[in-house]
Amino acid sequence: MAWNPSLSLNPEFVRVLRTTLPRRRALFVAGLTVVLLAAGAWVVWSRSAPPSYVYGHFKGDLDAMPDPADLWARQVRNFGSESYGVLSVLLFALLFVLGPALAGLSLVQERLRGTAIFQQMSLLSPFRLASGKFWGAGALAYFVALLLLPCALAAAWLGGVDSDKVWRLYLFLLVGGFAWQALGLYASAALCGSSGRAPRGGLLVGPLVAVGGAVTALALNSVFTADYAEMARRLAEFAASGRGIEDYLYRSYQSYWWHFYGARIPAYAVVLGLVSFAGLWAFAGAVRRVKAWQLIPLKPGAAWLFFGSACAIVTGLLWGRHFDDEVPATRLEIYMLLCWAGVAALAGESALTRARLREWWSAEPGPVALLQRAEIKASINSILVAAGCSLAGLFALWFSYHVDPLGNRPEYNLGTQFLPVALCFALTLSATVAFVQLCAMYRFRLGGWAGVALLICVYAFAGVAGALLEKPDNTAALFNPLAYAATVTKGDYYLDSAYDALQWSYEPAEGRYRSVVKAPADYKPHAEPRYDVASAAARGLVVQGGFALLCLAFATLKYRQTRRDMLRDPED
Amino acid sequence: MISTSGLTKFYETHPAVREVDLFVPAGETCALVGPNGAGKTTLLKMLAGLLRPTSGKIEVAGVEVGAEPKRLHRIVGYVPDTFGLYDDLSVRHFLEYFARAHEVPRDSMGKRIEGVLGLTNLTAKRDAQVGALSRGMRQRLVIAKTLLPAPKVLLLDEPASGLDPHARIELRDLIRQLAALGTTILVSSHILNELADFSTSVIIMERGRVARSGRIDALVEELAGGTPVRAELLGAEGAALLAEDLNARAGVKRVKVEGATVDFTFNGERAALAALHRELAAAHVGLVSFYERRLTVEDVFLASGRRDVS
Repeated sequence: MAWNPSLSLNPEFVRVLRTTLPRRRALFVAGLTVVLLAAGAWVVWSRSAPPSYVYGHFKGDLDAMPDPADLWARQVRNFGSESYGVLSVLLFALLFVLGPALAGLSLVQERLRGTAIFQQMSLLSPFRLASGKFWGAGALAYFVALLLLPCALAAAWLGGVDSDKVWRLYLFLLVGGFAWQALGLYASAALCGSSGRAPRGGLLVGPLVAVGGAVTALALNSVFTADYAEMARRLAEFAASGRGIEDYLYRSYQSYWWHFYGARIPAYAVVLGLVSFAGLWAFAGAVRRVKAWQLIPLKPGAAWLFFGSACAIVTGLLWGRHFDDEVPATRLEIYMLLCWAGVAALAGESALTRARLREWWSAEPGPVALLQRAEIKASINSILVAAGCSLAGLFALWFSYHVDPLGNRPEYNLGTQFLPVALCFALTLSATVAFVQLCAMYRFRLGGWAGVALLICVYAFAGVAGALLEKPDNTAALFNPLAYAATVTKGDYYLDSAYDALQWSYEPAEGRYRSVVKAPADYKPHAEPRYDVASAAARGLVVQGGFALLCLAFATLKYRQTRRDMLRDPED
Repeated sequence: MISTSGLTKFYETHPAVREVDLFVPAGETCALVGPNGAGKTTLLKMLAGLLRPTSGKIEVAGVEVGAEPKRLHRIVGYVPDTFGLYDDLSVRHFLEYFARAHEVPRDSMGKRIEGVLGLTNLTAKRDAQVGALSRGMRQRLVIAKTLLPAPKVLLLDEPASGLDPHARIELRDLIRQLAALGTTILVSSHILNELADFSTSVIIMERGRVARSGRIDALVEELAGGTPVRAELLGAEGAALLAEDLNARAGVKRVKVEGATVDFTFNGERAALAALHRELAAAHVGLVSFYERRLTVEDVFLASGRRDVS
């Protein structure tokens, strides 16, 4: 057989490429892109002419009749910067919208077309299958992007766009595009499941992923186009001189500098790191889904590693005390919310649905036999590991907030509120898992996810009720572990104090107050609570413990009832 | 080659396959028969490692299904009852993809592709688009792609459904050829005539359970309880008289009249059967033919249904 380059590539990639971008279509797309580029360049060029004294907005401008060579240079610069903007938008549309949308459809289409069964039996490893689909789904977007990218870079050069901004934005384009594509692939794989049926509304996953990618690109592109060097210079200058600075400007500049385990890092680096993390795990998740789809036994190690690394990253981002940052109690709340969401998602995903229980009981009606199943053991272990990682991160954060960077308070009081908050958090996680399992045993079509949705409603209702009541330590508010943490740490030096570097200073020359950056001597705790903290801590524990016990009891009763009903009337 | 023990699959509480214990030896062409909803497709999917059983064990060629699905897929080929294809690919590219996906060695890939194209009579369609193939050709193409890795076991689920008579004959010939190559074949259908000509053993399923299984000749022997014989006469009246005569003779059982045909079972030596033939020919002038009848899967299935399946 003659040498064939396609035989050296991933066969799944070659197959998708032959389907989506055969030679003729590739030539047509390339031709069309070149024509559209030329037409677009002509339009932008004609709009880029700099204003003369006749057409200019500023009639008084003495340079209204400039040198023709200068006019040409200005037109070229305008053309370059405008073209760079337009081409960047197009590149984002390709890599953040089109690529992820096609990846979102990749596995769903296999099910709908009826070819999934052949891929299930394929000897391609789940990794090769997923990566073939990943690169194949993005092939069309990459192809057009490769045609546009040199033009965009040339336009940036012509327009005199700061090269730092260009490489940062395009790094985001690349990393973010891949991450969203991986998320699309994961969504597609998750929707396919292991059942033989085509997923209902499966084709919607493509547009939904595309919308997600577009929103991310719109929301985060300013993080990458900001002038970090200038901001760092001005912040240092203000801090050193103590001169006045506009409050909004200071806050805005600060918002572009984040921390990771205490180290000051520009926001774009953090966002890139987070996006890469999400993308890598989305791809790993997609590979695991394909594995499950091919009925290859899964080991729980990957899920544990995900929870461990996610907790470590979130802990790093919320670690320690910094000037002009949120109070530590708020950061604890953010951490707990994220971990809670993670555990709830895990519970929703691995809950034992009524259908599965009935299937297993039909074959083995013994009440304990079910618990011997490897799937159930793995789910229980994963939930325990996730809860353990969450609590370990909570402890680490607590510890970091009690290490005073100013050295003013040497007496570290680690155990003051940690135990009740951690205990409440553990109880809430237990209640979440039990509640989700309880709901999964009803006839909800969403299975365990119905429990997650209902749980959100329960806590939202309790939150509204708590907010409506006058006393901040009311029982409805304490039901929520986040509000509970805020209640028991109110006015605490370590957890509820601020370091306001921005202070108001009167400027006699200007006759008004201006905010200035000054280093205060110490953190300033917020107002002391007007309620008995010990009583609130105890009541919160009782409420959350009661809810956890109630969920556990109901889940057990429902489990027994489901089994009894099934054995009595299997057809029901 | 294929063995299962206590194989059970429930869809919620509905038992699709229940407590199935099977053994299909190597080299057999086994017919999996049963009415619609008997559990044939579920059983085949579990054997192919595409569906997780609720309980029970499966072993195919020494590989435990479920523990090592990839190893299983090296030796098992499965042709589903319904499927889709990559219509945008050419037949050659389609087969090339599956050859690579099944790790067919690169140096022998071209030969293998040509081989399966020849075996499935698709050589002329090598460069045609898959989307342009007829139903029968698509069926053969799927069989071709399944044969690429030279599976030891081939599972065919209703392979002839939707095919025209000509395509069915081609498919039957193809299965015969594969059986001659030593492949163990398990082929399911609810149309018994399809299976009659090439099956060496049969598994009869009813409501998720195996009603009867074994080699066809052994089952025939067991079910018939002797040599099945058919006599054809000129008219129905003659047939009735012959039946009356046969019922009165020793060694003759299960006499059945259908129009001008009389079927019966004879217990005795072949010489005694020859003597009976002579006597009947002398006594019944309208006797046109008299021969040993070959029992088929259909006979086994019907007899099994009458005796065991309620």
